[in-house]
Amino acid sequence: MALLQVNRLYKQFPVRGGLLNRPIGAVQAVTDVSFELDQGVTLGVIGESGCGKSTLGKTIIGLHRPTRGTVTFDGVEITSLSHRGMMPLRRRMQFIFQDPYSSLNPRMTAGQMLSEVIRFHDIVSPRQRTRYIEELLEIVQMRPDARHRYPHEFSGGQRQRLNIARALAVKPDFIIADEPVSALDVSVQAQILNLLMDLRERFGLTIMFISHDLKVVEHFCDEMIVMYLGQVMERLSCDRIQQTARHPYTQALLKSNPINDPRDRTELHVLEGEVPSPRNPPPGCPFVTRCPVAESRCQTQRPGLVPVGRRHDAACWLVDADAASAVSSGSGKTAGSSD
Amino acid sequence: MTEIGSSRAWRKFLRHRPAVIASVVIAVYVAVALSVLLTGWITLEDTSARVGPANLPGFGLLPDPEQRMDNAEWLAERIESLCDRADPEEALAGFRDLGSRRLADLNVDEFRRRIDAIWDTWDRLAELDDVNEAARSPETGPEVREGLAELDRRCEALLQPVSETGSVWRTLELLLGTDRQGRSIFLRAVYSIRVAVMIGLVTGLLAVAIGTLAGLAAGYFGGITDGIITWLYSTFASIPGIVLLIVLAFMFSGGELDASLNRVTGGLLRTVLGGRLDETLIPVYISFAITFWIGPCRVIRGETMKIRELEYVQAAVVMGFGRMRLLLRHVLPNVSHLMLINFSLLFIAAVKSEVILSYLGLGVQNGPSWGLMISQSGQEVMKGFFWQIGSATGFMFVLVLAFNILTDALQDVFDPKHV
Repeated sequence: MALLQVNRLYKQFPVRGGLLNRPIGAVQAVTDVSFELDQGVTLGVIGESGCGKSTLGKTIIGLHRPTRGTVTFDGVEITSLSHRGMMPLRRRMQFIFQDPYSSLNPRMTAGQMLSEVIRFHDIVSPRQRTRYIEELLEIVQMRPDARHRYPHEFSGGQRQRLNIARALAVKPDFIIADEPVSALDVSVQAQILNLLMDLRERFGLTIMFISHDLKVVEHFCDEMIVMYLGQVMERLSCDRIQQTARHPYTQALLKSNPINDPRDRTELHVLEGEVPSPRNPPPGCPFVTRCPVAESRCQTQRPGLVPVGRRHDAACWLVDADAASAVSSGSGKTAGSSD
Repeated sequence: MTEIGSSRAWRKFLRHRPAVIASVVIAVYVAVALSVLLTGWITLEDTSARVGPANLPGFGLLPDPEQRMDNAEWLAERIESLCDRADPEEALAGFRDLGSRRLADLNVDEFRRRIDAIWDTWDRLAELDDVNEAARSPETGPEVREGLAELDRRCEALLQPVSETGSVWRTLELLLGTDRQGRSIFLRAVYSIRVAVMIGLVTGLLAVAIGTLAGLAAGYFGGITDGIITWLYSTFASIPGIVLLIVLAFMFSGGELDASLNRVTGGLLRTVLGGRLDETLIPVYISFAITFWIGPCRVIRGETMKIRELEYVQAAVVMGFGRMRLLLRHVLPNVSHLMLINFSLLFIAAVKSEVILSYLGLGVQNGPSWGLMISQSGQEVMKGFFWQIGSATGFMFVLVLAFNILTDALQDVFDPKHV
């Protein structure tokens, strides 16, 4: 059974206004997202900024309460658990934040921060605590004396290592990494990514890796989910995505990626138009306003996520037409339909 | 961001020379207040006792000739009236109107003889139309000044010589002159430091404590808690501060609240306080705390709302930490610099407001305070005597200035954008 199951998850943020501060609308941050994640798999979540990928991660970890839908972790439905009931699972699920500058408490040394987590979850006996902290720092390739220092004494990359150390301190199975390298220099990005890959091997971690960088996801992940305006557009394996990607949005993303060899450069494909407001998404396919191949039914009917290949789903009427046979066979993993 | 207690904050602070000097000044004030409070080297009696004639100028300056005559007249009449008592010896021995100075060890007849000698000189000088004018004019000047000196010597002859140790205290007593009732301005001004520092410290701490708790709760929990607290401080803030202070002070004054509280508690309050509520500083503390908590509450509410969304707090939520741990370990330490800055702002505000309230007769009820001194110096100022109002405002000015400089420096030190 999958380690993580997300079933028709919705997250809406109310928009308040008027004299009485009543809800006057809602931002549809995450709409009808379903997927499964097997033990040991690294799943990339990719999309433009504002597409709801961070909200998805934070809703899964419990920082946001979902509007609808469920999250099941290792067979336990966690969306309805109380603070106390969630406690044993907290140890097994961790989150690495995006901004290394605001994700460490400026008033605690690295050692205090790790020690608080270790004590709270009772990871090792008090006598082994110092040894364990030094071990953790070593795991993230930092010097043991770093534990006496405050966050402002570290660089961005070092802070992100500390974030990783904090997440690892509780010996988790599953980590959600929310754009862990996007705030770092390119050279440091590579170091942190390599570190994450080593750790994934060493501890057999399952990772949900949120990013807007297709190259990074392609390199780092096994599978990926492409999100647009809070909805999943395509789910596919990271092998040979150039060839396998079916959804027009994924293809547009691939074309907008920088090309290494200038001789390969063809004309630059830029998506026209604006992302629609998540307060007022189009009734049909969310991508319809910018889609180069949109048809009339795309305006009014929302395409569901349907299998288009082995471990490969897409939400597009045109892809759907190509794979009509796959639709009729209706795999169990199909999720979402036009509401 | 610079943090309290970090060596970086200290270095930044120590580079700020005026702030270091201001801290030393504040430390001296606090030390004086503590020494008065703990050792009692100035007692309440010292500040209310007569130490000499009224309105003596400070720094040992001589009053004008007319006043010197008035002072001699005052002393002679006082002693004369004591000699006329049924038990003159006892009355003379109990004479305390010259502060630490005592009458000479003489019998009643000798006192009368010496007082007559004073009157001789006094009468001679009194024949002049205008002593002040005469002392200045070139013809009569030397003679009048000699007469005045003689008058002073003859007054001095009534008293014991000043001992070595006694002279220091006597210098202090007369350092800044005396007020209209012949009380020592210096002792009163110094004793008022105790009152000012206590009011500043207690109301500063109380207001910051209440404001921090309310601000943390409002900012962190939001929703209905935030609504209630915001409503509460908006309501208080819509009343002009000084009006609110006056209303609260009126509520406590007159002893009616004290009486009804004692009726309800069966005299418990009186036993605990050892006196009447309106005679302590407690009403002042309460009214100031009620008015002043708004400032820190607002600032800390805003900062908490900001910090709550920061990723290190969310990281702590993901760890499963409880609300108390989040607030105390992750939010509170990161607003503590605001508490410090607000405390120092409120300290000044409390000292200044105390002066205003006491000036209006609603603040300190017993014992001296700068406000009472300023209030009492009204008539003196009209007569051209500025020692009392000058001393009170001077003492207050130095303290307030020092705190202002310190607050500015603290704001600079903790300002993340300021390197």
